[in-house]
Amino acid sequence: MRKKFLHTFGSLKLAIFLILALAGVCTYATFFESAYGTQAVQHSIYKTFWFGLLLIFIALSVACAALKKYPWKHHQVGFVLTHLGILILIAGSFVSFMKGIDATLSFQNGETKTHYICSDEIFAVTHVQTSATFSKTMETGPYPREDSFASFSFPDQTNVVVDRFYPHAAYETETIAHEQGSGSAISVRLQNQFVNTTEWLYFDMPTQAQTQLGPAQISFKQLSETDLKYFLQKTKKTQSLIGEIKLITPQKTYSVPFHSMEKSLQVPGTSFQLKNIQYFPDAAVINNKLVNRSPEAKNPALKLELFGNKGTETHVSFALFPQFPSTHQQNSLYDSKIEFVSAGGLPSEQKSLQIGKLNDTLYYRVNSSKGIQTGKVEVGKSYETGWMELKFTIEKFYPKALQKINYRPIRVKDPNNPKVPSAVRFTFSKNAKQMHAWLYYGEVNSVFFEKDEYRITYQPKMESLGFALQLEKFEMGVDPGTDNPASYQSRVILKDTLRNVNQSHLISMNEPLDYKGFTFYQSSFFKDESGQPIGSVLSVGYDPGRNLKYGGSILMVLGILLMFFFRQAYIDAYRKLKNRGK
Amino acid sequence: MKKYFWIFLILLLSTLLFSTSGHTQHLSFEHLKSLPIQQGGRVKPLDTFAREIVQTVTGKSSFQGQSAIQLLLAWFANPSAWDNIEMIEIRSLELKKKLGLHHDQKYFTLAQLGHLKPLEPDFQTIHNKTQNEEKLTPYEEGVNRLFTQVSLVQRIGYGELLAVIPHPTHPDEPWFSFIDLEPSARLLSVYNDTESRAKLEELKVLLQGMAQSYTANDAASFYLTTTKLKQILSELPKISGYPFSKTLSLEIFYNAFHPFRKAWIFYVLAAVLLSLLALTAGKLHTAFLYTGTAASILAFLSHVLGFYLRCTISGRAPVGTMYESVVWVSLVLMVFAFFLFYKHQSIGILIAACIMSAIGLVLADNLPLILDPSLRPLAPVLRSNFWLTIHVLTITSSYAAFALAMALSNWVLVKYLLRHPKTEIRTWVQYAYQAIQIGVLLLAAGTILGGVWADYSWGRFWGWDPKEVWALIALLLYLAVIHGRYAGWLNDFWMSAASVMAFQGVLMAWYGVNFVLGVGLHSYGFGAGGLIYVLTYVLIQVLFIAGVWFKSKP
Repeated sequence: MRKKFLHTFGSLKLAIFLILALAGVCTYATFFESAYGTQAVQHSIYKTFWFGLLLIFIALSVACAALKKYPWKHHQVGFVLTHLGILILIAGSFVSFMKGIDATLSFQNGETKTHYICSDEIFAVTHVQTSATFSKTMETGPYPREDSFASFSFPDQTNVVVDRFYPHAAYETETIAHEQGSGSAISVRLQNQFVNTTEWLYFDMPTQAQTQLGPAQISFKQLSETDLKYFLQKTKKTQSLIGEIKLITPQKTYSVPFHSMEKSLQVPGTSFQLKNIQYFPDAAVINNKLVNRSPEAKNPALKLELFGNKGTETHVSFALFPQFPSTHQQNSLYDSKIEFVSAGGLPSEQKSLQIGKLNDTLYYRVNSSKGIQTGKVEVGKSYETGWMELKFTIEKFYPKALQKINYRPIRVKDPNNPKVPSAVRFTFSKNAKQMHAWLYYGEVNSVFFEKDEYRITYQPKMESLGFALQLEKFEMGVDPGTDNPASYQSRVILKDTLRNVNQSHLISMNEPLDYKGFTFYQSSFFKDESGQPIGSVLSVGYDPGRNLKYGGSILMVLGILLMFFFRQAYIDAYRKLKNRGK
Repeated sequence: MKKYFWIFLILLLSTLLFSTSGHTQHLSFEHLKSLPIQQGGRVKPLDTFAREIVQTVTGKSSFQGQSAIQLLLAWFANPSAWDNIEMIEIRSLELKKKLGLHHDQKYFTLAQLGHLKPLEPDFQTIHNKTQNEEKLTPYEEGVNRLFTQVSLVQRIGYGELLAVIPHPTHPDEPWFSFIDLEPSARLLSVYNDTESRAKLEELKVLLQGMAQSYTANDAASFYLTTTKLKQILSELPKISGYPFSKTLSLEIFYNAFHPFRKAWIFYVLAAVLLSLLALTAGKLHTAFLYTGTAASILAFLSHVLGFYLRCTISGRAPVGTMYESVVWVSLVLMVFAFFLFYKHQSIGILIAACIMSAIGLVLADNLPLILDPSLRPLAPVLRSNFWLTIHVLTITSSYAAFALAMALSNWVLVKYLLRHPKTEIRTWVQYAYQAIQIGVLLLAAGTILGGVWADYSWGRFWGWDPKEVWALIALLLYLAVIHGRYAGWLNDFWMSAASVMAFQGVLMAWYGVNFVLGVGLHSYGFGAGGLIYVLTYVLIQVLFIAGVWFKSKP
């Protein structure tokens, strides 16, 4: 019986079949990886139950092949060693697979970390009022999932299930008319020859009730009956009062109001004329010339020519410094002075479009250089804004709107270097009510369901190192005269209060740090916006099967060497020894 | 008989030695070859720089009878003279079509390519793709190359690429090119003393003098100005080691000597001479035997010399590129062949090995776009690591053993066609089997050493990375062959056929993973091109085995 078992499992036929089967599976796996990425192939092939089973069968076959020749003869030493080596190697692999850790740890310069990031993910829901928390730790894998892979039930019969997983998720927002919508939304289209954009504005969301488009601000607001009157008031662009010009003669002081766009003025009751009036809201003297720095009335000044019967003279008056003589270091022909009294600057030149809502009717108020235009808005009709020949249209108006975010899985070009994170959906349900909430990897969010607040989490699992590691600095060397990285290294400080350790170490490519069974390897780094490296990513390894694997490998190679090349020499030496013994 | 041997050897040696000294030019460029230039992350002689540039632009090592260095100086000294010369090589038919160029034409002028506008959107895509480290399509490779070619010639015309003025203090800082003499702020900040500034001014004058004397074809003043130029460069404050005469002259010798080209020529010669043994007898037979063996030894020596030079110049083991692995595999294949030849005294082993090595070196010598022969700095992960070197050399040595086994097995198949006696066939199968044994040992050891290195560098012994997996697959295929032979299921014919087919697994591990699959951690060795050659080879092998089976029904 035992012999039969050994002969069945130790048969060469089975061995060759298994060898070729493994070769075949591996071949398929590499092409699979080329198409779907490393994570996918690990998940679907290398780390599956059946692949493990295949390896176990191979181990069994190897063991039986060796055992069926027992008792071994001397020339079979190589053969036995080789097969034993393979067995130990496979055993070591299983130990590593079951107990090993392959995680990462990333930190910025100066940061200290006490935990590493595992590939497992945690889904958690907390009912904020009662602090009741449920969580599940699992590996989601590389494929989109649409089954309930984590579910939690609260005592009040609220059920929360995690029922969607997209390894690379993109989202689009969509606005829909909905009974449960809390506020109104409009979609505004702005269009001219060059521009054509549509924006959604939400009435009850402060951040999304207005938007800036080029120079113009577009806003959406609630109106009351009293507001409406002002809202709809139109004004033509008129000359606005800038201030007052005072002509102070030895006899009398004359006052003339001065409006924008006025170039010359007659001083009433005199023969004086004010010509070439220039207004500087924010005046400065640069290179002996009066210039304007900004449109805001910070340092208002006037420059003008006083024209009278004796001739023309130039006056400059600063509103903030009326004590200065207005004729610059000269005596006035008329022994007169000009004083400028500012009215406080011009009204804002801001271009704006306001959409107001009263009950279910929309009104607009557009402010442009042509003045203020107002009116009632009909959905779908275009109106002039007065700036840049833009026309605006309210394309949609939902008195009750809901903002819906749609997530969808996407296929990234390079699965080994995805630029899009994964996302999951939590579904809350109680009685007949249901609500969905999406979370991206690494996020925590608050959601309200049936008036209760819940906190949902989708994060990597963190495990404690039992000590701390601080990144002093990540450094990158380059090849002479190029930007090509030549070396990466992390200067770290290892802190272990338990053992009173505080040492600095240098982790570089091929030079890892070993401590308490963990090994830290330089794996990657991250940069700031200017491209300067600011942090380091280490991979954290813990491999209890290492010694088995090394031992098995050595035995195997030694065995092959004996079997193929020193078999005869071994036999000869043995015979010699035996003869000598006789 | 020995006399012939020695005469032949001396003849061969003399051709080796004198073939390097070419005909003298009117203007002399020899002394400029050793001018150190910093480019591509290392300091190299101007000679190498010129060869690489000319190779990239024209697709050849010399052009219209002008040596690379001559051409480089011509582009620099008189840029406008080259606008209408057909020298820019374009291979991609699609690219020619897009540019409205004639598809039969191979070389184009700068003036013809003045308008690369239609390619600009493509160039943007290529830029994005390279940023994301994505693979380029052959057409995009072509566009990329064309942009490089045109910009190389133009930038040399401006003096921009000629970074020959060393940074005085730091070896890793970029050197200065002639365009910095304008002068650039960076140059002035580094050379802030009056003495150096005066020297830099002098350099400017000399450059003009050089260009003028070149254009006027005035050999005497050209020699004078260029010698002075070199002198001034070495008089500037400098980093230690400048002008690196020892290593740079080695590299110039390596460039001029073409050790690998000489090696394959002699391998071919050896293979031909030794093959003729079968047809000859008596004295002639002996003569062929000696000369053939001598040729194979000469080839091997040249091969070793080239390899030694390459390692000395780059200061590292040849573990970085496909080119280096091909050269190494052909070398080790010869070592195994000499060993088996010594053991079994069978000339056929040597012939098969010479043919295989010659094929390897011919490929390495003639496919610069696929097997890039230039010396480049290694990817960070590959630097200064003992285990890595051992791991790669062991694995690639196993490829050599398997390649030898493949050659010997093919020879067995030929013997089937020639209906040689069964006993003789059996001996040859034994040779191949021994080569496979060497290969299995090395591949198993090398793969495990790879695990040791990966464990040491990345913290995992085995990660099911494609390159690892394909090494395993190749090993499994040969294990299947060995077990099948042991079980007695593979007769001599099927044994040989299986050995040939298992080599396709090696080919996939060696070439396919890097050039076809293009994924995984071994990405530093990735490349493109040559698939059609490999597939043709695979097809020929399959057809050959089928043919032999059909013909001789073993």
